[in-house]
Amino acid sequence: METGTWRVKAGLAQMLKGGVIMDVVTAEHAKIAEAAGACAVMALERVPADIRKAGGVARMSNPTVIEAIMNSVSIPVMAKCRIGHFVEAQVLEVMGIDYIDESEVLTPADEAHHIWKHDFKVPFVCGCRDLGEALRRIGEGAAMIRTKGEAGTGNIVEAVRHMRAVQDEIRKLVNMPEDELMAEAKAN
Amino acid sequence: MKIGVLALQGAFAEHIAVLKRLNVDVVPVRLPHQLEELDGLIIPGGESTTITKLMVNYNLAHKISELAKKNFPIFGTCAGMIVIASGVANGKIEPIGAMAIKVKRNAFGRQVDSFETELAIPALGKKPFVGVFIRAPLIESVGKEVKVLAKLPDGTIVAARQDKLLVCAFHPELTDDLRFHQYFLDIISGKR
Repeated sequence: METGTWRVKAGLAQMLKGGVIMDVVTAEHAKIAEAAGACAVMALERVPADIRKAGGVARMSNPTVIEAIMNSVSIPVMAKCRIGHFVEAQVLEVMGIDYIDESEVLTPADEAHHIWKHDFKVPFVCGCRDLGEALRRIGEGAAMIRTKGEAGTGNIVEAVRHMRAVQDEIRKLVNMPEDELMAEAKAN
Repeated sequence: MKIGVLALQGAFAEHIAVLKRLNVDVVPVRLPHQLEELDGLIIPGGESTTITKLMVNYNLAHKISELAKKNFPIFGTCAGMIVIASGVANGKIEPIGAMAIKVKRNAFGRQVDSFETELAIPALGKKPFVGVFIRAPLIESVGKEVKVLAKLPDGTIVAARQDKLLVCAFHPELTDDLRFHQYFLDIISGKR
């Protein structure tokens, strides 16, 4: 029996397809989301709009809040850690969280590097604005990719632009002859 | 042969891809009328709470339950197995009750406990089958009309068949091994 394989990490992302992952800040919210048909919840101390408003340093949520949410629902529970903050990720893994979002919504802990996610048994989701960014995150071990968008504004145009960019670049790469791939990879 | 894949939420695209490799016609099923003229239905993995809710909202639960009573072939994987069970131990789900099995959701723990392992499945031949278990359920008990197809080394039942109903707790659609899906097609055509 082997745990934490790439197939079970990416597999959970595949099981979430076509569903809604709802941001929640209390166990009560989580129960409402589950009862309404959410396929997972993102356990937060504050929703992104409030994080932005409050300013200061945004960290991983209080483990007490996360734990209360984990105990209240049977669907997968995700939580965010700061970019590059592998200790926050270790805490979340030990708590038994189902997916970690290494998120730009929180204040980055490392401006140059992300977490080396292959070292973890718990799967990670990361944001991207284009295919180059997505592939770097996957290279570091992200098992799911989301678009970045403009957190907390309610304006989805950024997310749509990023989704279009990723899809366009995939279509371009698929049609590219092998001898042009090297130059394309270097440019991105 | 024409097989439907319940395409409300979860890993339906993966099942559709496997069926295409087996050269059968596939219909993604989202509305009740799409269940007509099918030779069988696959209910995929996903979140069982979400899938059962959508099945009721789109009038699919009743229709699928009626079909199952008329010996219509159904293959349920993971959440799909929970959906057609007759009982779910740890609540929150109203299964359609087509198959005489009692199941337990998230039976192996949380995602960090998800695993893959080689299973001996005699019905598929001597070669072991890789079982991918993701926050998987297990079968707690089976009725006398149910045939157990696979167990974990500790005796936990993870795959079973009752006439033309087939279930497994793991995800054959996440592997390149087509034998489990072929087995379902053989059940439909009466070869097994």
